[in-house]
Amino acid sequence: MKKLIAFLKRSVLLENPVLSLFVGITPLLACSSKLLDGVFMGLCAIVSLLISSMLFRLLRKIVPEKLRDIVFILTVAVVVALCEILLHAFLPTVYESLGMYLPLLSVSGLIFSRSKKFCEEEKFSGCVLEGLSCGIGFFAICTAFALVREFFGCGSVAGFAIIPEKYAMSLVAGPVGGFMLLGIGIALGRKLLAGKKGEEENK
Amino acid sequence: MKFNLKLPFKKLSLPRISFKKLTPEKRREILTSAITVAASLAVAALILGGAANLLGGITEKNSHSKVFRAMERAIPAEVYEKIEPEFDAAEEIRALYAAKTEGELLGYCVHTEAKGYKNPIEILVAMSPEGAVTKVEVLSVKETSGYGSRMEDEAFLSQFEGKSAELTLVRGKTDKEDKISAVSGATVSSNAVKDGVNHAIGAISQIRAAEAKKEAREAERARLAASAAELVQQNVVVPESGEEASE
Repeated sequence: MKKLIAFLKRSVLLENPVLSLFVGITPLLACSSKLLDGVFMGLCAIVSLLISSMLFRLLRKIVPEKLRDIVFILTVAVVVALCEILLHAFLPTVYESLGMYLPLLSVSGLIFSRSKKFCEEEKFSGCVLEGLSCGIGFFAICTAFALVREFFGCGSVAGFAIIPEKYAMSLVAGPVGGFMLLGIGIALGRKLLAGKKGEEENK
Repeated sequence: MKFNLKLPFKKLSLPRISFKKLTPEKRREILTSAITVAASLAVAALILGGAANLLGGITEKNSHSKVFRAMERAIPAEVYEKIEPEFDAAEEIRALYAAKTEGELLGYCVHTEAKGYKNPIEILVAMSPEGAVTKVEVLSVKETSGYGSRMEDEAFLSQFEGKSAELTLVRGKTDKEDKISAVSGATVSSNAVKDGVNHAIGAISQIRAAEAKKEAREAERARLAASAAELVQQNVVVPESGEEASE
């Protein structure tokens, strides 16, 4: 249990791909104006990160070093495209609301750079765990942003109206609100990171 | 007049490499790279093509049912017969349906598309058999949230109800029969919806005209048949089949 909490803390706060590494900002900003969109974007990111990390690890030995980037990019594209096809078939409403931002995940640094980093891990399980951790971090940020933006921007949570729409700030649901929230999030992330580093130095 | 075009950069020249002159190691490297890339591309294409093929049926069914659900909300009916228009309908129109219960026409549904601010907006327009709009529903909208998405509001869409002539958009409030007031701050999106409804009105009026013509023709034929039968009864004309019988 303690291990799980430590794992979650590390993935969501300390090594969050968005707040400390600034990757995957495009899909995050594009798909976090509605809670459901955010949740599904996060889930897609988790699944594609996991699968592509594993595939990278397996392909690493077969593919000559010079060609790794090409083959890895192709792998990410295939995994994300598969996600898209599955969503289109089984959850057409979600597919429509995510729109072109789901395929955009394949060119985002989130999956490619992270998975490439993880596949250098010695053990297969370590590589899977890293992928999962990174995915959960992105999922948490995406969901949190979507919750805040939908609540303040549209006055609702997951489509259920809470504040009358008259009093909602539509600016927050738009791109401006996304960037503002991103700034606040990064500042908070830095603060947490600085605190952690300070603790380690004091020890 | 002659133009003397000189390019501001040097002519691009690639170094000539003869494959035969390369060392065997280099040759092998080039070949393995080419084969690896080709193989990975082929595998990727196979996986994606296979998946798309396998799930194609489900995809089509699911994206199809969205329109049907909207039609059931607008005009509850037993069947929605697809109409194949005999005229050239506007290319924005995706499909035309006649909603029928036990053969009786309850109304028309038009699935149409119009260019919005960023993406096409899909609209379903329901119309009465008399050709007046009864309901407009926005099926998919990817406009700026907070502005363009306000056109899904009941207040804006209900303006279209009861209209049956070509509409124009105005800013501010209006109560004229052929005018629609735009959602403030979302003129482009409002215009798109208006265009979609106009296409639907145009198509349905053409269909109704065609049907009226057909009905008139049938009525004329029935009248002629009736008068012919009357003449036969009065023995003015002997029907051909009668002559054959007498022989």
